[in-house]
Amino acid sequence: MNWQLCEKTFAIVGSGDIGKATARALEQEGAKAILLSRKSEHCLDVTDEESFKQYGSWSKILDGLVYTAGITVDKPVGLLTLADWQRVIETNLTGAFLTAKHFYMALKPNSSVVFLSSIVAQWGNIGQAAYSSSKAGLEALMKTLAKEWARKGIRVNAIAPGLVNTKMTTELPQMVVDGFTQHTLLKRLAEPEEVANVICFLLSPLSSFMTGQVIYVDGGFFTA
Amino acid sequence: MMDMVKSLLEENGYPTEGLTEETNFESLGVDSLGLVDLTLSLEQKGYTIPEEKLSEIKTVGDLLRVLGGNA
Repeated sequence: MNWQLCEKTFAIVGSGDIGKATARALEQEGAKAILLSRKSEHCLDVTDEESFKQYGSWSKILDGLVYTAGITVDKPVGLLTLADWQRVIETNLTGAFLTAKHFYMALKPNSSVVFLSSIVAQWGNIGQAAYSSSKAGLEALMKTLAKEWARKGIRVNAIAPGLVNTKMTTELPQMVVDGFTQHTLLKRLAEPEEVANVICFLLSPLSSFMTGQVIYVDGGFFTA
Repeated sequence: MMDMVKSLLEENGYPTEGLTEETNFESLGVDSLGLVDLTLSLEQKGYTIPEEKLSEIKTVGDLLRVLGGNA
């Protein structure tokens, strides 16, 4: 299938496993992928608004933007500190808002924006009050942007994976991972590439009539 | 400055035929979100439009006066 991504330019915020897999998938399709993170050549700290100003001169150069930056602090609410809560919200939600705000002018008309949400945005999860709340907020942000930016033909969507085989998942207790896997119809974790493929679809003109949507990439978690 | 506003409108896909200082933005199809887009484009060109001035901008002349205050 021709994804129609060749020679297009995409910015990917966050250089975790899913961000990197998305960059690889785009490059395999002949697109240019610009990774932005604290550790990348194109440096960006999503928790620091000053950090965005270096990209303020980018004007209509991006065919798409992907926000994958995210952290989690997993504790029951009784043990979660305000600082824990704020750290997660700052990266996962406020960082997404700042990215949208400061990269809006860099987007071409009819471009596509994808946010990385999670099934826990709708499902909630023991020990993930901050993470699940940040992702639920992210989905509301996505829907608002879809409404505000439709006038320019800019599509905005989110994908909500279940557990993905990433570094973040390896830090979870095995019991939690097993519980998720058992509840998933396909009885396994997603690979980052399987998530990246759906992101590429949403970036591609093949999804040209989709906006304001959350696409579940969950191996049947919600159907089980 | 009028030429800059004209090219700004063109860049953002609005009609500019017969544009005068009296032209109302609404008549060009520029609504409140459109005006925000125009101010963001202006920011990239080095102009700052204070948020409290936005609601005062109804015509091209209004925008030129705010920009004049910037210069």
